[in-house]
Amino acid sequence: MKTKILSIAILSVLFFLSGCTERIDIELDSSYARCVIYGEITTDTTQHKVTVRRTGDYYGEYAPIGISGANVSISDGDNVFELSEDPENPGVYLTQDDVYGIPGRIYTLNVSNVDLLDDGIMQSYEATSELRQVAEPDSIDVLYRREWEGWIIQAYATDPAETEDFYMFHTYINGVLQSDSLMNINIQDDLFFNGNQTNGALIEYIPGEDGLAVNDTVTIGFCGITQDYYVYLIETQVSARPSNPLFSGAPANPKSNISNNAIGFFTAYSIERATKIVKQVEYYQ
Amino acid sequence: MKHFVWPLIVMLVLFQQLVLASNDSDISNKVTVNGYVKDASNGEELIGVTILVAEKSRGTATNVYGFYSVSLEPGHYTLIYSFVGYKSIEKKLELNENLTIDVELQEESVLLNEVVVTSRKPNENITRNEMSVARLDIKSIQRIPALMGEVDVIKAIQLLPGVQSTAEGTSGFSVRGGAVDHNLILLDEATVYNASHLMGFFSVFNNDAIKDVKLYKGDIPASSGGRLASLLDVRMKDGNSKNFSLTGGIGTISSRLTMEGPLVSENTTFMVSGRRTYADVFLPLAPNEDIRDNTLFFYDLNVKLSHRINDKHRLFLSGYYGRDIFGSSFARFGFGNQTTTLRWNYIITPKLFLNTTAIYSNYNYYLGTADGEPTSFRWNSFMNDYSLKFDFTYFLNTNNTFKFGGQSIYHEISPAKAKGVGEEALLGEFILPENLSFEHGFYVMNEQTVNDNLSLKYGLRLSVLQNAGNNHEQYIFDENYEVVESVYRKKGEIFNTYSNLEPRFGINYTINEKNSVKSSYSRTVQYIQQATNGAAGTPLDIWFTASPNIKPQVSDQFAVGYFRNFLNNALESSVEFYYKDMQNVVDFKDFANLLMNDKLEGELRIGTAESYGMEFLTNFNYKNLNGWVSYTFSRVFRTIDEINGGEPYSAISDKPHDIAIVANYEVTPQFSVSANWIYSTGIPATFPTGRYEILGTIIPLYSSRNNYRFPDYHRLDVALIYKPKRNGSRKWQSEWNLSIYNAYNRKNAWAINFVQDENNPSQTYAEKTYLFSILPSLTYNFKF
Repeated sequence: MKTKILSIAILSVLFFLSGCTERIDIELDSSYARCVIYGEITTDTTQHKVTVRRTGDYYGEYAPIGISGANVSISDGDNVFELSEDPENPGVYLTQDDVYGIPGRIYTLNVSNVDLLDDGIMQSYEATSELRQVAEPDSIDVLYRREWEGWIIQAYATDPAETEDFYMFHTYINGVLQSDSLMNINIQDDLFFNGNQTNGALIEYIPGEDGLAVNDTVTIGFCGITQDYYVYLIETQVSARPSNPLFSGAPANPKSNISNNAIGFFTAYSIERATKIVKQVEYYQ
Repeated sequence: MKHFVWPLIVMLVLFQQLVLASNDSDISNKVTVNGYVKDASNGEELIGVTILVAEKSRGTATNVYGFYSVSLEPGHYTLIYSFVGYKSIEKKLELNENLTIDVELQEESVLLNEVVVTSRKPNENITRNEMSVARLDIKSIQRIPALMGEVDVIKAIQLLPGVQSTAEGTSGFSVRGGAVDHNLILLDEATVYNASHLMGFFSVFNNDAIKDVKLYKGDIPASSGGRLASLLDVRMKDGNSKNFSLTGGIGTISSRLTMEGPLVSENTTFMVSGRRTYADVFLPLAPNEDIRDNTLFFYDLNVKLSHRINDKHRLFLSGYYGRDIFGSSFARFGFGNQTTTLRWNYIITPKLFLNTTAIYSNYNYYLGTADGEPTSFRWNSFMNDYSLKFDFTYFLNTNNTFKFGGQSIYHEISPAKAKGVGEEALLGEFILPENLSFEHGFYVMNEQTVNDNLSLKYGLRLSVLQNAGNNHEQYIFDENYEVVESVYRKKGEIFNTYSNLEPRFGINYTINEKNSVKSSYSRTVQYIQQATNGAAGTPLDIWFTASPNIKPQVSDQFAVGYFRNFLNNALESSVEFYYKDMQNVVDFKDFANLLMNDKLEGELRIGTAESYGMEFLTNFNYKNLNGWVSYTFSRVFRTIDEINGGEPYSAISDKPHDIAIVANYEVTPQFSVSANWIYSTGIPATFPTGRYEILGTIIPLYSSRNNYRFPDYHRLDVALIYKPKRNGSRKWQSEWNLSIYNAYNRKNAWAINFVQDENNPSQTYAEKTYLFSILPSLTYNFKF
């Protein structure tokens, strides 16, 4: 909510700043390479993915640089799931497809045998994340909002009162994941509805009248994430967005939960889904 | 209220002693001349007029209320009253008993033939025991080319050495490496917490309503405190006591109208001044449909009433009310300042002057969605100051002017109240508790002339902050900025007190009439600061006070300067060096969340700062050409354990080289040209040294804070001013002002971003945003 309020503030004041942009040449130094690890384990039964890569120069046209040959495993205290490298994608490590996380457990990621600098010196990294249970949603509403020229999805669920809860939302249309990249993941804390019905809180916006059609199946994955991961997503989204002297502080690297000076994050979360089939176009009042 | 009582008692005791003392000196055979000095054309009291007793080569100056007092042995004297831009007056008098002489000075230049010839005591800048101070003449501010033709006090101040703007177009400024919130901005003694309109492109000060502007960059008198870096003292006009007059202007984005004059008799005057922008009037013409329904404007209203009860008592009531309003189909947003000042001048004895001031100052903003929807919400924030202030001036003799007094302020800050609005509100409520505190300051100071060459100024200020409870839990943080416990404090309970002594010292050694050396030391303490992330600041910034978790900020500043005049005082030059050491300065952790955060104090990171520099200034005033050239070399570094790995880093105001050239040339009495050119080193910035990808998005990798700089900033502005010849005896005067901002169309970077190419996601590049291309504007001003 806070981020939304701030976005409204930014939009409402920036519309008259008829600033122009143009490309500019700025020479940048190189930095030493750092290890970039990003991994998830969820309550879904599927192949869970961990990527192990290294940072590169800021400029240049290149794909992320994967680090092959690492030993990657995830454990929950009882079980250890070994990950094997995807032969097609260097630096991408996958579990077996029957692995799932269990709410309440604490998951640990271990990455070792990482030749970060290609100098034969091996590094290892570790991170932990609690898998938190998410409140089961009651329902969702899918409505068309004329003045916004787009569709909104509202959530009905009961937020647990005793905990401070953090949500991430995955949107699927006809089974296809729409929130497939950092910038279109929606997250929210419970500041405005802690312990209450979320009462149709706005969780997703799909632009354009043709963004959805009658008979489309809309599914929302309600993900219960940790506060650390919530903060990480905000910081990473802020880092990827343009900054300006009005609202932006000095940029910085998002806070990682991985050891040994690595960049990135390891997260565990639970997912509960709610689905609605668009039967007819309902308009938002 | 009880917190105001004990300073009041101290005041009363001191006051009684002084009344007795001033009677004593009457016995010692001295007699006193006192009175007010005014502008002959409109009756406005003049601040800082020099009164020289020719026979003693000593003198005094009028205080901020235009009052002066000189005590002398009985005899024959010549008093010379002089002030910049006015004809000097000599009064010969035989002094046998206390005398009251009110003086009216005529402007030097006849308005039609505006050759600005200074008639100030020609080398006043050499002899006055005052350094690191700039007084700006409203008339010269009006000549400076302005953004969109809106002549602006703060934009003019940014052209002075040692003062830097914090971003293109903003009203925020940094003085000698300080932060924007290190400046105390007073309008008729009331604190203005946000001096900007329209995101800072304009300031809240409407030139037509202002009489006097003075900026202290260091060497802040002991009578003021509460901020580390500077004091900007702005005084409103009292109102014309001679005639009713109307002043106004029609500009590209706004119009102004000021009315002033006597009410019933010369003893009561009023001034009302208003300004409103009308950018929104043109919005319906916008090509973008979404923008057409928007509202966007600001207004200002300055009001003042002055009443002379009798020779000894005067009352002033003044107020400022301003607001910015934005609205669109999905959001609304507004912010503004309100100040009200009630002052009472009382000449207790011919030598003892008392000013008592009661002040109310408010800043507030709201933000919300459009009403009438289930998701509608409104977010409000405000801060109120209630203050009472006593300032005594005791004109002991021609060698000593003694001042003392005190002020108490009650701060009431409501950082955020957000809630759903309307009957079907879906959103709940979120309220941050109010922050309550008392801030007190007591001072004594003396300005002493030791001999013809040496004068001293010394003072001591005692400042106190008391945190008061608010019926809520107060968090206590550990050294890792984590909450360790919370303690309930009931409303009004004082649970924390800070006090500091702030010595101030200044010395002036006049070598000869052309040369002088000055030096000063001042300690300043700041108890209330702003939570702001961006360099330019936003209207959403909130202030917070020192507390058990946050120590007050402290600054020690040393300055030394050499002042020299050339060409028969047509060139006034000075060079000043300063060094500042600051403790407990506040910065914010990475990705700090400053809004709606009940644990705001946990987002702060505290450390030290060091700044030093050299400021060079030459004012020229030769025939039809006048203006100034300033060059500043300055550095400022901060050291904070948790930022930049504990290594010192450049503060945002660290711009080593800064040049401003401001000139006005009067081609003919009807036509003049002004120009200013500004150059400064690009601001420090944090740029990436690498990149990586998370969830399909490229994220920049940073290695250290402020490791790069923006490209250098420079800009030329030009103004052409044309005054049609006055038509016979008609009172109507008018003026056309064509301003061209950024005349050679320099695309100065306002923001630099590192961007992922949309069409080719594995490619990145740097992109700058600039705000203004060449921007002409036309303003028509009138007066009758």
